[in-house]
Amino acid sequence: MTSITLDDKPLKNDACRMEELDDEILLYHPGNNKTLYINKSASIIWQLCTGEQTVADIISLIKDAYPAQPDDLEQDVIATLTELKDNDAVTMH
Amino acid sequence: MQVRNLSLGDSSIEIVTHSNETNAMVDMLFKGVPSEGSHPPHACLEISQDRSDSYRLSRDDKQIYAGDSLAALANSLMDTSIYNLADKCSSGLLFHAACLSWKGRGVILPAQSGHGKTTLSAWLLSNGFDYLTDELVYLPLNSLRAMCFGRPLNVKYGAREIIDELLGDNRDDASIIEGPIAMLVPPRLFRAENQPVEPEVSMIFFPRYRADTEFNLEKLSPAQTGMSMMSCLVNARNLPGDGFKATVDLARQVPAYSITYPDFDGVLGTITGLLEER
Repeated sequence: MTSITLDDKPLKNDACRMEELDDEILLYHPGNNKTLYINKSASIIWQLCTGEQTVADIISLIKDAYPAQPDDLEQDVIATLTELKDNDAVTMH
Repeated sequence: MQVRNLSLGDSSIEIVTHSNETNAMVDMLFKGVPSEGSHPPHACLEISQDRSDSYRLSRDDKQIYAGDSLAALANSLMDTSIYNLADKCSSGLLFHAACLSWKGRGVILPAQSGHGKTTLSAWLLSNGFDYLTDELVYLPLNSLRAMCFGRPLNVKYGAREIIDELLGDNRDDASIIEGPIAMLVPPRLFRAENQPVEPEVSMIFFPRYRADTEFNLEKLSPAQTGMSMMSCLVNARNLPGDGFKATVDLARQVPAYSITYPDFDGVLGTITGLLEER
């Protein structure tokens, strides 16, 4: 596991193939043959990994869009991004 | 000399035998495996015997097994056949899974080794299900028609107690092949026969036997289903896009459940009840 800072800018890995199923996402990484399941809330984070927004920006956007989110939203976002990064689904810039 | 073809989709192999004893073993092991493929065999497995009655299994003249145990020969032949069929199969999805049918409806039980799919299959066979395979299911691309590697059930000795109970008076049947870590049991001994049909897959269950838990049934979303099916796809590298899109399409079409159980109480009624609703 690698640490992520609030200043990092996550970018989706173009090599990953994505399939949307209802509100959820499956990502397949042909390089490592891994399939990653992303639930509804994590899929929102994935969509925001454009390489232009920082982790702090993503947390702020989700807080604004979904004010009822729990207090530990920041940890949840970082945990999701860490999983995406550890599976080579995003890279940090 | 006897030549038997085994096929799954566009992958075929042939098995050559030279004695009545090994002919009979091959017939018993592979009577439920499709023999007519779309392509000629890409590999030849040959079983021969020397003067001291030792067996020799070779693939295209390369020795794979040599020894005097018919059970060890059977296990080696089974493993080699499965590997070689999967290795060249590119016309459909090949899943590590059991497949049964109930009233003509196909049920797939995908799982890694050790999750209890063979024991669960034996239980369901003893309770009215028909047998297709406990190991490999082939689905042609864009089709839900299951073609199966219908070998005898490969029962690990850890499940011996429950299997003996299910076999009843058949537990000492001469057709059971006892190997070093498992025994191969013809499905007829569980009061079921290899079915030559290709049922449409109606439902997927991911079984998990755990002695220390309570019975639990969970409906899976299509994404969860797709993720779990990808982990059981054995020929991804042969398929367009590694079979990801085709597997996702399957997950969109077929309802799936995870089923965790400490014993078989409730399993039969749950599965047949869900199938009745389809």
